[in-house]
Amino acid sequence: MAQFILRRIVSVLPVLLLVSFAAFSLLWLIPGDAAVVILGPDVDRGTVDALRKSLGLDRSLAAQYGSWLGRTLQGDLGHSLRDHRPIATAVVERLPATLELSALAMLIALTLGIPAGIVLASRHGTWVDVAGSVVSLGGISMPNFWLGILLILWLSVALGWLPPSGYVPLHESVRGNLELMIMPAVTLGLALAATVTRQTRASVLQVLDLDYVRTARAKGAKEARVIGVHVLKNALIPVVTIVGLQIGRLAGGAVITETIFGIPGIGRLAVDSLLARDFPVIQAVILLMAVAVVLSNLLVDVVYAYLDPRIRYG
Amino acid sequence: MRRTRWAWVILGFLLAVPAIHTPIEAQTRGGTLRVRLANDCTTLDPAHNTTPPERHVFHQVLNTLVGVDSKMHVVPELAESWKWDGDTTLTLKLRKGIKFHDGTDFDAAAVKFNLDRILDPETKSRLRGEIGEVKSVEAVDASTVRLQLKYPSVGLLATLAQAPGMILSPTAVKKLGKDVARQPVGTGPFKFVEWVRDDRVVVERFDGYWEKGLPYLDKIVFRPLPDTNVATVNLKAGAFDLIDAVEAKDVAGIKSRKDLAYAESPGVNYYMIRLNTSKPPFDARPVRQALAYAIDREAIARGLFFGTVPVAPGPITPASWAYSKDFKGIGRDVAKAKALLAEAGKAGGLKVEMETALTPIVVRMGEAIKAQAADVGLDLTLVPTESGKMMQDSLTLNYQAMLSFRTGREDPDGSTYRDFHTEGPFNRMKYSNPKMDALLVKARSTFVMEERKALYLQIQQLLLEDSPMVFLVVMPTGQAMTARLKGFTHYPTMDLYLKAVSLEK
Repeated sequence: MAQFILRRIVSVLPVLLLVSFAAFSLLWLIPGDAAVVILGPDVDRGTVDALRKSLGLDRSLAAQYGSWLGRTLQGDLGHSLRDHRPIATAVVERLPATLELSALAMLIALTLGIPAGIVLASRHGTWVDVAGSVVSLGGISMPNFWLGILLILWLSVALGWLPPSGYVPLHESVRGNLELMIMPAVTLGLALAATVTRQTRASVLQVLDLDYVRTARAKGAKEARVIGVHVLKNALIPVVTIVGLQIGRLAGGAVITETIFGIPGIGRLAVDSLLARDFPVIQAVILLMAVAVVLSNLLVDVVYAYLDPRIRYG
Repeated sequence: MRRTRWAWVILGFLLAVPAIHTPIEAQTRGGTLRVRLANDCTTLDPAHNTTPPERHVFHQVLNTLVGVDSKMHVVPELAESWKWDGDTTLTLKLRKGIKFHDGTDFDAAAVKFNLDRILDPETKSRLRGEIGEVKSVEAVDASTVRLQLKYPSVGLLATLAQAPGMILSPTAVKKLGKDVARQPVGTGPFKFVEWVRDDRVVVERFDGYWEKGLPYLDKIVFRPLPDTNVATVNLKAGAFDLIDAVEAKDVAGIKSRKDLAYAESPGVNYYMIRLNTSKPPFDARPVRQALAYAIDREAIARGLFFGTVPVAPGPITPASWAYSKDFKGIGRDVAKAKALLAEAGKAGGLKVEMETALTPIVVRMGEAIKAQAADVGLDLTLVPTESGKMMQDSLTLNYQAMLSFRTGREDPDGSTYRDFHTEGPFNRMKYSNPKMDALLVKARSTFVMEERKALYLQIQQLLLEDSPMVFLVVMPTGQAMTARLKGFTHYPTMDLYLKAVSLEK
């Protein structure tokens, strides 16, 4: 097992290096001169040249990347161009909101998705299955900015039950925090729930056809026990994979959801930095998000290997 | 030319009186106003101001040297009067007894400190160019400041009503260093409390404010919420009391509600097409004019903006005192456009590439213009372009036509010289006409308003003849609020001044 984990970690390193290079290249890939883009149109040549120099844009690409990577590896993410604060501080401030939002969305996705998938699979071929599949397809296809606005219109404007936007930290008021977090979490979690539903349904169906399930039934085990104990053990393995892969999607969805609901999280940091052309922050956020996705995939691989011995010996 | 510079002084004194606010009906005191910002502030140091949301905060926390009224006339603020000696010396008389929020005195030294700070290249202020005409600043005595200019520039006063004229406490700037960008200390009606990035900026009533009786509110909470649709929904749900922008499509919906109020006035910003006069085909004047005559501005105002905006006849919009009602600009004339193309030897039609900004409204405007231009034989290819590339292409003159917008200034000089003078810093058309240069210089050194107005009319007429830029429609300025809000004044720049605003219970 240790060897397997080690092998996986080694294989992740080149990916991380590639990701860091992609994040770094942003300054070079954007159309136009980065210094001009940052400063905007209302500025003279001298100011542009000064900024080019302070950004190090006058040096070679390799030299810039080298020094940037060196600093990043030492944990120095640099300073924001907007307010000159350390980027690490800004990220740490935003992390709780995004983590809470992601965790709640994931919770909604799992508590809705897994039972729904099981029900649909056990009612395979009936109208319940068809209806459920249509609904979950709708859930996947629904853009979350649209769903978000719809929820605000319904729950805040029409019914007045929930405040439409804003953020209260959990440690200040649990109730205030949850009131504001429900809609964003549902917005972000629903599409995920639909994906989990479909994956659970498919893999439960697959396992239901296997011989050992027939044996279990032949022994006279109750259907609830057959599915709850025998089927789920095997059927949930692919679901774990899918959930792991969705973490990247969660990060992407958080950008939009946080923007709609005015939550000061990592996604908002990314959007605001993009709008303000604060490139060091954008580079850092992209790098961090990418690292988070790579690491969560690594974790999924490990969990997977733990659940299914065939993988670690394969 | 006779310079009646004393007219300005008298005007200054006349306006000084109504500047002390006297409410017509009794307004409620207290309460917290919740204001939506389109984006979070990037800095709270006025010397680095770039975006409108920052100004919404600045105008509450800081005063400017002079102010503007809603018709964009310059009025007294920290300076109670001013006087021109010759055309390159401006003397400002400051109000006495004003204190900064940190308890220190506002005086001439503070003004000198702030202006010098912007002019100092070390500060890297983006506003340095805006007051580039200032050669030196001298504190004559505690309440007199004298500015020496490199060349005549009447528009400087109006510039001092904006970010370059905002005054921070020098003591605070020295003490806080770069941190002043996160906690501004000024003389304004509200003092700064906190700024939580991407979440809120809070200011509260300054009890020692120099305009007696103001402000009415106890507190203002600014919250950034980027999406305009979502902002409107939030206003309807009661989560905001005032939103700083409204899309044209939402105007009717807001007006139909009794619990909401809507405010607008003709804006200073306008949509336009920039033409590269250094390259074919727009190096030929008739071709430029042909495009101008091909476009139906009324149809654009009606179809895309639901009739909420006026057409822009030139760079001086109906918001300005220098706007002439009789100056109509160019209207659609298909026959004339075709004749102009024939005159340029392009009777068989012409293919042109036009870069368009990526905002949805500009994209739709591009499609409308493409259809209209096709009627006269101009075949436009729309090239949606990211703003950074657009900026670069305009700097390097690597484009044919560019559909985007320009932001106008309070003074007509600020809205014209930079774009249309041969040496103008934003002349990205390589447009050059000695007659235009002479007119622009004359207009910025003329002190009598009526004479200036006549000059700007000539400038705009010459612009139509030369057509280096095709003027389209004025940008919408709509803002919406709860009907409980009293004393709100809408400004063409969309800047918010909230000292006289109150919230009924």
